[in-house]
Amino acid sequence: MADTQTGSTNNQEYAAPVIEIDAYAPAKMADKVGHVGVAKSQLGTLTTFALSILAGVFIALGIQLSMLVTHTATSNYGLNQLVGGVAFTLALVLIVIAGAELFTGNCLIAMSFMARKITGKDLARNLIIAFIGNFIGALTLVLWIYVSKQWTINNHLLGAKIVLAANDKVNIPFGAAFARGVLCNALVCLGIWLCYSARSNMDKILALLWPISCLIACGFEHCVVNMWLIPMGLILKGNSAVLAAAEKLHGGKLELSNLTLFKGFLIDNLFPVVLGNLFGGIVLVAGVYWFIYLRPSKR
Amino acid sequence: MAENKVQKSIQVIDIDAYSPPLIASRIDKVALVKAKLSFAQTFLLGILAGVYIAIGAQFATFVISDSTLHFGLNSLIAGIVFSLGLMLVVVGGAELFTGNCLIIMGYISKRITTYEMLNNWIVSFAGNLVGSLTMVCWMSQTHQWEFFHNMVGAKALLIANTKVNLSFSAALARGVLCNAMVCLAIWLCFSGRSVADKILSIVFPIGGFVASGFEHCVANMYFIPMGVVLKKHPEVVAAAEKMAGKTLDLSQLTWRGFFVNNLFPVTLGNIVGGVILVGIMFWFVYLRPHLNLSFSVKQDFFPDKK
Repeated sequence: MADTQTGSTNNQEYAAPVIEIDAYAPAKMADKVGHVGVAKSQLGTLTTFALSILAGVFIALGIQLSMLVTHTATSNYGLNQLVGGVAFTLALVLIVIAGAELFTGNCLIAMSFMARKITGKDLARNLIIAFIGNFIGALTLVLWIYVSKQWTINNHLLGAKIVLAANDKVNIPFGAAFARGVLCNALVCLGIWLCYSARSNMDKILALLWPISCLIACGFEHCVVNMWLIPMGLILKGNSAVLAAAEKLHGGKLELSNLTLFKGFLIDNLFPVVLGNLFGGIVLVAGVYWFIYLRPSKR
Repeated sequence: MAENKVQKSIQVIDIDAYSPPLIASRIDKVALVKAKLSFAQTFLLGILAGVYIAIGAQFATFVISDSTLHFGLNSLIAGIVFSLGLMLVVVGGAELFTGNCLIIMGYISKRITTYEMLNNWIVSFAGNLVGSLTMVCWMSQTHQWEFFHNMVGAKALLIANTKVNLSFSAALARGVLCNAMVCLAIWLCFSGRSVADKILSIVFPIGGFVASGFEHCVANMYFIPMGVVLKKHPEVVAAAEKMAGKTLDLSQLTWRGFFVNNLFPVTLGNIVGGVILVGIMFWFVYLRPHLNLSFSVKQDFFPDKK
C-alpha cells in the first residue's frame, strides 16, 4: 500500500515546526520527473554528449565487473547470476549519483513530453545524443579493457565467458530479444523512478540494488550493456587462446558464426533490444505513471 | 528556570521515525486518499502492483533454479530477492490487494464507507490479476524459462505444482500468516521516512514470509499460471522430473486447480490475516475512540503546551 498522499504528512498533534523530510510520494515524484525533463532538454549539446559518454563508460564498468565475478562459477547458476546482478548495480549507482545521461534511463523523461513541458524534438534530441554518446563511451571501454589484457586472467577464462555471453546474445530470436528488452528497461526506469522518491544517497543505492540486479540476473537485454559486451566478444573471438578456453568452458564445439558486427550485433541484437527498451521505458513506465498522476483531469 | 528558557529557544525539529500511534493515524488518512482515487487510477495502479509482484516472483524463481545450496538458505535468498516486488509497490506507488487490507482501519474509524472499501479491494484485486497474467504472457515470450537447460522453467513448474496440491486448511493457514506479514511490512513502512527506511523494513517481513513458504494470493497469480503455461512444454516437464528425481503428477496443475485449490483459500486467508490480525488489531490498540493517545503524546513531548 503506497503512500499516495500528495501533500505533506504533517501531524497536527505536534506543535513543532514542520519540516518535510519524508520520502517523496508518487504524485510528487511524477512532478519531479517532469521538471528534470525540462532541465535535461536545456543542457547544451556538448554537455549532454560528454555526460552520455560517461554513462556508456559507467555501464561498461558495471558489466565488466559482473562478467569478472561470475566467470568461473560451475554450479548454482541462479545464485551466480544474482551475484553478477548485484555487482552490475555499480553502473547505475555511478550514473544516478555521479550524474550521466543514460539512453535507457532517459526514456523516463518522456513524462515531461507527455505533460507538454518539452517538445517531441527536445526528447528525440536528448535520446539520440545519449544513444550516440553511450555507444562511443562503451566502445572506448572496449578498447581500454582490451589493451589492459584483463581478459587474459585466470587462463583466459574471463575472455571465454565474455565470448560465450556475447554469442548467447546474438542468437536470441527477434521476439524474445524484444520482450527481454521491454522488461529490462521497465526495470531500469523503475529503479530510476524509485530514486526520485529518495532524498539521500543511501536511499538511492538501496532503491537501485533490487531492480538493477534483477535485470542482469534474469538475463534481460539492456542495449548499452550490449554495446560493450558484444563488441568485446567480437574482438576476443579473434584470439585463439580465448577461443580454446571458451570451448573448454562450453564443453564442446562452439558455433560462433552469428557473432558478427553487422548481422549478429546490429540487426539480430541491438535493433530489437533498442525497440524493446524504448517501448518498456517510454510506454510502460513513463506513459503509465503519466496517465495515473499527471494527465489533465477532466473534472 | 534558566534551563527552561534555554529549552524554549531550541527549535524542535522532529525527524524521528513515526511512532505506532502516528502510524495508525497516517494509515487512517491514507485510506481516505485511496478511497478517493478514480476507477481508472485504482485499476491501473492495481495492474502495476500485479506486474511488480510478478517481477519479484520471477526473480525469486530464477535465482533459486539449480541451486545446490541447502533448502533453508535457498529459500531465504528467494525471499530477499522477492522483496523487489513490494519495494516497487510501496516506493513506486501501486495498489496491492493484500496491502490494501489495511484500509479496514479507515473503515472502522468511519472515514470511508463500506462501498468505497469494497470497491478498492475488488478493483485492485482485478487489477492485480490482470497485471500478473500480463506478466505471464510476457515472460513466456522472453523464453527465459529455457535458460540453463530449461532448469528455470522446471523450477517454476515445481513451485506451481506444489502450490496447487495444498490442502484447503493448509492453504488457508499459510494465507493468514502471509498477509499478516505483508501488512506488518506495510505498517513498518508507514513508520519510515526515507526510502532506505522503507526498503530495509520490507526485506525482513517479506523475505520471511517467502522463505517460510506462506501463500500470497497475488504472487500465486503469477506462479501458478506460469506453471500451467510451462506444462505444455514437454522439455520443461522432463527437466522438472529430472530435478525432482521422480515422475510428476501434474493433474492438478490446471486453471481449475489454480482457482479452486489455491486462489480461493489463499485469498480468504489473506483477508483474515490482513484485515483481522493486523488492521483491526492495531485499530483496537491505537485508534479506539475513548483512547486519546494523541493527547498523551502532546503531553509527553511538549509539557508546556497543555
